[in-house]
Amino acid sequence: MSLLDVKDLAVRFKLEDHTVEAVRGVSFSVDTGETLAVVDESGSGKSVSARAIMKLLPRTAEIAPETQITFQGARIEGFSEKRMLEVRGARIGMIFQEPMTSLNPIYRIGSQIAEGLILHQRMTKKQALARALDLLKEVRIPDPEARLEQYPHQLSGGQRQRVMIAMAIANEPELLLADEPTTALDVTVQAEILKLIRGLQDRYHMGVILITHDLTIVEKVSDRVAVMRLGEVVETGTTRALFARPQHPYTQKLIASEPSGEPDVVTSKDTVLDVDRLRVVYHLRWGGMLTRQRRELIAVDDVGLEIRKGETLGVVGESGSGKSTLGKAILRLVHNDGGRVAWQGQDLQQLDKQAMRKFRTRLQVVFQDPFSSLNPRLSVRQVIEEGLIVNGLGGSGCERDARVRRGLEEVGLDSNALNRFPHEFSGGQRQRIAIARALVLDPEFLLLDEPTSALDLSVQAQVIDLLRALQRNHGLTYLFISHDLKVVRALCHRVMVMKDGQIVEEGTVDEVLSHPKTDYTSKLVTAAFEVIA
Amino acid sequence: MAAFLWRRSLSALGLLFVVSIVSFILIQAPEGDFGTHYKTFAISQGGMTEADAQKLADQIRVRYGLDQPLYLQYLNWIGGIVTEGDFGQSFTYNKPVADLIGERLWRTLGIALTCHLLATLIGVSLGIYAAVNQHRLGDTASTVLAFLGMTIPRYFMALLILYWLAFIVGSPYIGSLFSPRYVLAPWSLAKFWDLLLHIWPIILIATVGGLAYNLRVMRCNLLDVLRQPFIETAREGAAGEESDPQTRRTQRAAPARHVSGRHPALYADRRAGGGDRPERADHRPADARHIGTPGRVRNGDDILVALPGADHRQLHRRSASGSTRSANSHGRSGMSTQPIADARAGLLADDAAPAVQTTRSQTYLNLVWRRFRKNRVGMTGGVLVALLLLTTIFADFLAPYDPAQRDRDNIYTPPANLHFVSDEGFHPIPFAHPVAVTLNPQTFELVFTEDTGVRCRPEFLGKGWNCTLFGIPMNRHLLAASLECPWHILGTDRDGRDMLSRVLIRSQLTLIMAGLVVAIAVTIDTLFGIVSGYNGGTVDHWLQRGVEFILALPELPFYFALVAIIPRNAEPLHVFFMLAAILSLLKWAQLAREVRGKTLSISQLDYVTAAEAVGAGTPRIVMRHILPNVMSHVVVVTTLMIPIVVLIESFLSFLGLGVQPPLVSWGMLLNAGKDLQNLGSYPWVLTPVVATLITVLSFNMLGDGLRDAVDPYQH
Repeated sequence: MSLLDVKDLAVRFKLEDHTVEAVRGVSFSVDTGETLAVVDESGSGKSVSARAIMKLLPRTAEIAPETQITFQGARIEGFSEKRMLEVRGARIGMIFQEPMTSLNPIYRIGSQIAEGLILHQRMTKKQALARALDLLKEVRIPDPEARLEQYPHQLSGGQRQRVMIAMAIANEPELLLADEPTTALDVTVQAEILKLIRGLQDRYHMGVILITHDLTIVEKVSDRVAVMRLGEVVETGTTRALFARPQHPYTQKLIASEPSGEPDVVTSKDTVLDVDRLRVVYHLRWGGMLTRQRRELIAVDDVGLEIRKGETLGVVGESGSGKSTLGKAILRLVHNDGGRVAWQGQDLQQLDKQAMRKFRTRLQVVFQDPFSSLNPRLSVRQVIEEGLIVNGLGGSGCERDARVRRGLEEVGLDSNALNRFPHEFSGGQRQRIAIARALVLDPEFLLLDEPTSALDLSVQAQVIDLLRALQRNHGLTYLFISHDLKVVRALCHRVMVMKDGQIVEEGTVDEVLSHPKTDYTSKLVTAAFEVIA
Repeated sequence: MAAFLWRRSLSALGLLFVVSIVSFILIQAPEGDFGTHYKTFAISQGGMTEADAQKLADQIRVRYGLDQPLYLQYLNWIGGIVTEGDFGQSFTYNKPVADLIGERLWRTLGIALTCHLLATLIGVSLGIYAAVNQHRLGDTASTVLAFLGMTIPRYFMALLILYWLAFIVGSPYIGSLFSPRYVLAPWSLAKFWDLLLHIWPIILIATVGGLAYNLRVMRCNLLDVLRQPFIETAREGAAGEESDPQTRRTQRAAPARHVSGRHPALYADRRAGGGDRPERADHRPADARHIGTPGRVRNGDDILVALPGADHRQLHRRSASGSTRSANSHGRSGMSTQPIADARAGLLADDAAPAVQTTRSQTYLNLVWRRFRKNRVGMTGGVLVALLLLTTIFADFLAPYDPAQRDRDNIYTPPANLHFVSDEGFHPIPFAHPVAVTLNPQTFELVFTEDTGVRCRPEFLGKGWNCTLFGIPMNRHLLAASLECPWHILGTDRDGRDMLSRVLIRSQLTLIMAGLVVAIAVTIDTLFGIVSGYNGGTVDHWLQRGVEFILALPELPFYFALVAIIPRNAEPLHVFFMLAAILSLLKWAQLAREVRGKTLSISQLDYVTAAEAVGAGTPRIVMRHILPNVMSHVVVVTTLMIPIVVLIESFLSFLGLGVQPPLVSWGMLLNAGKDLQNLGSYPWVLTPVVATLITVLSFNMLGDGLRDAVDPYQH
């Protein structure tokens, strides 16, 4: 008999005038010591299923009567709130996605962990704190004694997630529900957290349900997989079998949408963009008139780079490494404090605002977040034609309209999108609009600032294909900023690794990814391609 | 911490210094000084000649140093305060000012502290109660209470209570702190009780406003906190205690309304037809997950403990973005709707990328309307405001009498009893009987007797007094009543003028004043706010210091001081404009700060950077990208500012400091109710307050609804 057996789970949300079925007919089971991955792109009911097991659903949701949830032989779906309290936290632990907000900001770490122990195991405060310390050691937080006395805001995201894990395993539960436990974390931290969960699982013989959208994690960590789509489980099976022979077309598509392929070979030898010792310093100031304090934050520290025509240079690094600032500084979208940026021999740093405007059409940019990069008050037409208008391009209204339509077609959108507003489009569609905005100006260079990281896997694959096609057709030069080495491998010719504003490694993609020279790079590579070594 | 306190005290000192200079100058600004006062006094009371009186006045000026230049006088004054704690001598009481202040300081502090304590305690507890019982009876009741508490002007509440005490209860405890026999008695329980009997109306009135505010802030903060994941963590991690059924209902938070109202995209897609179907289905779980966030709370303690965190966050957010959203009425959290973003980008979404058919697009206004329509409070407010504006515009047409027409025969006529039915049958236009007023020779009470033999009825669309509507002279009115046969449904005032007509016509001046003030203030604000927020740097720094200064000014005393500058013999129209200028001067700062915050956050969004990247210049970025997105916020603040101005204006006019006759505003009408004696005999002179209340309430309701609706994207 399985540890947890879910049969025909259905959850309905009562909305104002109708009911929405978030999940229906979902069945899966997990055994002691086993890891079940529930996978799907975001928002297909996998989180709802997990919450239904814990009965942590909002009041508007109800579990349908046909549902059967059996945990250690007991049917828990009909449990009263009171009986559920004995299960929740004690026998089923849960880790949430957002380590930033899942801890109460006004309690010390120690007492937050201790709370569950005192309530469930009737420990005294002292015993509970001692156990909390053991738990912190177990989740391998550096300097655990000091952490007991600290508040959540004093810990990093990864450390907070470790605290969350410590809380989840405090009562030695038989089952651990991990709801996207690593999504909010940096790639290198992700790997460590997953390794930790794995280790704890072995130690406590827990069953683990891992909810994720990341196929790499699924492949490396789980024993079995349940693939969900639109609130239904479409396929289950052992991980190996499922990845080797996916049965359902959706699963096949999901696995196929891992970034793949390679960019075309660069033929040109001319360097178009030449950046030399570029430096960006932020002056942080705080305090009042009398107690003014200053600190300098060097975001980009003497970075130099060269890109040939038609080439894609990738810039990778963890968040905060200065890669986005570098990109913006090259286009003079942030101030810079020294260095030289030359576009086809013309020094851009010397130009005033007016003169720079001539180059704006030739150097364009696509941002990471497709939601904040489009003004919600402008229609798609207005968004795209703005560049033409301010630069006096496109001549008459008719010609301009034709150019806008052509731009939309090129990114694969129908021209009837013209009069609609950004909020009516999905993330991937919005990103296409943002690309069209850049393309319509016939640029020679595109700065791509994490253009795919806010998108789901399959959409990401489509955008990568699009970018590759555009590069081929227009001979575009890309500077591609990303933290995702898989996307970089699919799109870039050369890659630069940045850390703390400096370049630590540089070379062709093959060189860097297969023979990383620095620890930092190999950590990134490991995190991206292997997850658990 | 010590360093922080030290810094803050230093800057407070600096501010005090500046305020002292400004108040000193303001006090000096009106014409005349104590010398002039003394001179007129000597002439009128002492029978002195002009020359002698002048000499006397000069002597007095020398004695008090009033002949010295202004800065020396200031130095004298501030020097005395700083070195010896000497505030000078009060001319009115003939006692040292320091003593006078000292005497009153403790009482004032005591009252203030008590009120503050009560407002906090009761407001916070009611707020918690409301949040935990969201959308239940208790919540609705306390929301209504909060609305009323924030809307009803304090002075009116005071008048009502006084009226009730004096004329209905006949309470002896009015107008002093103690009954005569306790004034000099030592403190005892009995004396304290006596004090309470006298002082409770003051405490009550001062508490209500703060209480209402606390209630609302508490409620929406708590609703925000209850949606935090850590509440869920607490729920998940801890158990063993019986969960309180009361608090368990907390999770009723985020009802369906919330979900459907929040995601316009859902609707857009629903209309899009078959092609988008899979994509639409993709939302559901995202929605579900989103509303899944609010968690239950174990017991009451948890809520209380969560408070400081909430406050902190709230303050932080407010200072960071300057947004009023933090005081969001229904506590809709500002949480991002990112899940829907993920959902929308679902696997099949891009398959359907080239939209199959043309759909009617949802413009911004459509979306706002969609959300606003669902807000019952806001809609009610909107309808009321529309009616109010219509009434104001057509006031001349609606008024049955000439508001300036005096009538000696009908002084202080009480509101007429309207009769729809007589022996002749039903009358669509009700009639009234003329009222004769006589004085009871024994009790000196007024006796009103209806002359039932005569029926007075206004003429529908009849000819009446001459007025102009949109500049066209006319004399037709909706209901034209004649003086010979009076039909005063709201009674008349001391000159026999019809109250209804006066209230109707006066709405124009009141609303014009409010509109003018708000228009000036909002223009300044938007300009300053955008300049400050977009440019940053030195301009921003100094504009913000200016804003801080204005915000630090004690509001009421400054109105008085500024109003005192207006020459008494100025033209009424000039007074009106000066008053408007003063009100705008003191009202622009708050909004400027908010606009700045909003501008700041918008100018950091990628679409502004993208506009820069395509080569758009500053004017274009401001006009096309920042201004439209800031405007929604400005509109809301404008709506919420109108009632504030209406209240201040009515209060100033009530005190006789506002607009001058022959211009008359609602507050001016109320002036008649200041005299308790008058009020006792003719309580209907308070009717303008009802008009003020309706105005304030409806604008507040409208603004509240708009605030929830103007940000339909919330990404």
